[in-house]
Amino acid sequence: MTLNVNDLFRRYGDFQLRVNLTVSKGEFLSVIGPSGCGKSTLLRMVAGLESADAGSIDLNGREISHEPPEKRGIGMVFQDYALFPHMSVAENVAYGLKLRKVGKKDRESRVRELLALVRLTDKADEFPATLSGGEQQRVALARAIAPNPSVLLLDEPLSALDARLRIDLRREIREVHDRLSLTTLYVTHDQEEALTLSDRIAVMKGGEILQTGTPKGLYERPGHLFTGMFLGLSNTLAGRVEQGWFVTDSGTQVVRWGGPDGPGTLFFRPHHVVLHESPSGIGLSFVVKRVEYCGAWTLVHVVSGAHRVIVFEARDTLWEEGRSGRLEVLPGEGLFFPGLT
Amino acid sequence: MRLLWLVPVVPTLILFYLPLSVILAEALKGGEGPSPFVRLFSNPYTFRVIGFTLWQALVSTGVSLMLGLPGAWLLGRATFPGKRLLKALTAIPFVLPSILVVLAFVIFYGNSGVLNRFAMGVFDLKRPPFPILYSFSAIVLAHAFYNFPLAARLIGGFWERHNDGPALAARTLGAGPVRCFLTVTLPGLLPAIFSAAGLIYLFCFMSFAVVLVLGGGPRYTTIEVEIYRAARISLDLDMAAALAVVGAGLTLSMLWITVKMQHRASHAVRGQASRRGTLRLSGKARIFWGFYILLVVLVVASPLVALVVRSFLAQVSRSGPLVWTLKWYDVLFTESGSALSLMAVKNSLVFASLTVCAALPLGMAAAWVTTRSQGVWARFTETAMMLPMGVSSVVLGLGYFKCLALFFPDYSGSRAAVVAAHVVVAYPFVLRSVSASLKRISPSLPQVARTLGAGPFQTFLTVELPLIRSGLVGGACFAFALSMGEINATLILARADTITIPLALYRLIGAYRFFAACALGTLLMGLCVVCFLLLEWMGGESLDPERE
Repeated sequence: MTLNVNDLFRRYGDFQLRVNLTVSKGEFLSVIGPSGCGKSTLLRMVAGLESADAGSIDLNGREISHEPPEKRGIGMVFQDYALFPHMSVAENVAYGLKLRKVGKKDRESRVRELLALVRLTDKADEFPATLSGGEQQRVALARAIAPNPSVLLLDEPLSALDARLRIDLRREIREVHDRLSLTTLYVTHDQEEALTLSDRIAVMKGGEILQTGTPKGLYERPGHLFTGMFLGLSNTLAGRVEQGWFVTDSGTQVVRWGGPDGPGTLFFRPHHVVLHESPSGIGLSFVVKRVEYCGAWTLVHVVSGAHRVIVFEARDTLWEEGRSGRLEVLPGEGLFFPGLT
Repeated sequence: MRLLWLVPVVPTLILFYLPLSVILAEALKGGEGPSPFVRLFSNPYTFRVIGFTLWQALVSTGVSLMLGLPGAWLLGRATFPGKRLLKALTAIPFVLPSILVVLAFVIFYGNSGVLNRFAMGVFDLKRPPFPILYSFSAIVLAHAFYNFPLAARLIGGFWERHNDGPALAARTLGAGPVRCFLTVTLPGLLPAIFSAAGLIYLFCFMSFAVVLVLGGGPRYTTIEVEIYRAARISLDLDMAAALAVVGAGLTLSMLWITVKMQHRASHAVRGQASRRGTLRLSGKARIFWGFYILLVVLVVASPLVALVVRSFLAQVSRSGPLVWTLKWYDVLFTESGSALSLMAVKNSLVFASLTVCAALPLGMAAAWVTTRSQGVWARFTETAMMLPMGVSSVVLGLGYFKCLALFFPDYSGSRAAVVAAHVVVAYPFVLRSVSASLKRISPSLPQVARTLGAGPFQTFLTVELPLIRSGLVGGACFAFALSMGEINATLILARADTITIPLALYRLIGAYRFFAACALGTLLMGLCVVCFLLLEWMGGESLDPERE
């Protein structure tokens, strides 16, 4: 089922939400952005829990923006799980099926099937209050997909869980999606979730979608400085392009750069940097401020004048606090965003 | 959906605002001669009554707070075996009809009551050593009996959720326990204390049966009692209306202040994280608190126990010893000539059932509208629905009395009016109880039901209704108990067909037939205790300050 959001508009005081978005059949699309960017509102408007001032939402060519939520045929997973506390796990999952007048026998077999899918078969008769956070979220997922929705909406479903559980559950969500080829719209503020889960990501800022693209495309070739900085760790240097070089504000040549002259920002990832011990050569001289041991790798924080740069190093790196050297940005790896910041 | 707010508002307009308007109109119009307001305020007696009303409420509130504060600490901060039970017991005065308290007081503190007889017997005295009854102190004592558990419960509930972090920080910064309490803890509790005080003051101000019987005469008369006397004894209805307008004006402004204070109290709660109190009682503290609890139980329980015991006793001859008997219960229902008590029981049960049937949907609709919708109409509804709490049921009864005369001059009964008055008295409590449970439902629950295919009405039936069940049962118990014990409006409206248990009790007390009164009172108490047990079984949440 293809979901089309066309010129959806809503005004809240000073804030305006204006969105165009398409989620193709079977696609897993994440909407990502800082809090207050309107991503949850977008999701709630698709679900019919909030109304739009203008625009349309259509599902496989059927205009649904004026239908109440119960007529839209969507499934939604809430941030706080929203399990019915007065119903058992099985009753929660069966709730949507009952409303669709599915017979008792079919209902029971469907509930069994879904509980097996989320590995909660043995918890069928328990009540939500006795389940752990992760289990509750899996029940919420099973309940949302039980009535075979055309689109599955997930509103920051993992944000209330701890880090390790999040990694397990996000894999599980993706597996369920792949098994059922559900058209899925996933809202999160966690860039790692978006990168690992999605077929495509839509980056939202200030009520508008800045750009959409595959996780790899957006990470490696972000079309906006904001996208690049929001997804993953990154470094930026303010400066200008001058006669084939990127030059910092303080006048140091950092890396060769073709293209027209003008002010702008150089953007590069922590793994696009090489640290040299010898002070002579191209690049910025630096002092190591702090070394963070991260287990599988090491994160080195260096300072060069007014600039701070983070660099990935191997876990057995020899760099330590107070040492100085020269920093080289690998040619061809950084991005230049023209314009004054 | 948009017009849903009309569902609770329209009945309220008819049941509450119409009788109130009739009083106002009559008071302004007056009969022949000078306006009733002029007559009212040219009489110095009026000012004495108003002054006494304000004064007795102030003293009663002060005494209730002083007795209640230690209890608030116990309920809020300490842990000890039996705490749950003690907390449950603080709810008893809520469901105990005022006329029953009056009766229990007469039996226990009266000049020939249990306490005085006991003292006279032990110390061989000629005169009763505690001439409490029919005096100012009897009124204050009865009000304190009623309200200090309320103070302990309200303030204790707040204290329990009150963050003690700042107090602990003060201790680490060098403040001793006393300084810490005075400079940190007490200022933090003030909103709750003011809020409880406001509520108690309002209750004492509007108190009727206690003052009517225990005050014992014109010397100790409050506005409410004076309204009753003007309406039903001196038959000066215009004067009663004018007095009712004055009384309602005073109580409504007090309600306004109380609500303002409650808002501030709830803001104070929201700002702070909660940590449950876990102070263990030990050593000397235990003795002190044990003494306090014993005293409280004695003060609260002994009059009630005396009442029950008395109902099973009879004197063989005029000066003979007391023997156990079931005679009074027998007399209640088989008395030849008038089957007054039987009729009273029947009426009370019918009225209470009808009250529950009407107050429950009304209060539930009001709760739903005020918690689930936003905007001007929801706020308007909330205010319109809460105002009845700020008008005494004596005034309300007077309103119905006038309405009956005005609209149904040929109708000789008043059953419908009595039930209507009971509904108005009861539904704000249903509203409170149901709102408390509605507010606890996460807003995403009804939303997820909608996305799963349930319409608004189905969502209400399958998700919200089961979740507010305890609030509904609590509200129903409240409504039932309030109707069973209502005497204010009922007494003003009393006609041949509306004798209820409280009215019968009032007449039995007036006729000094205390044994029979005790039997009927025990019956009433039994019914109210059942309500109370149900209420507690449901968590008793409807009584506690609202949680956000």
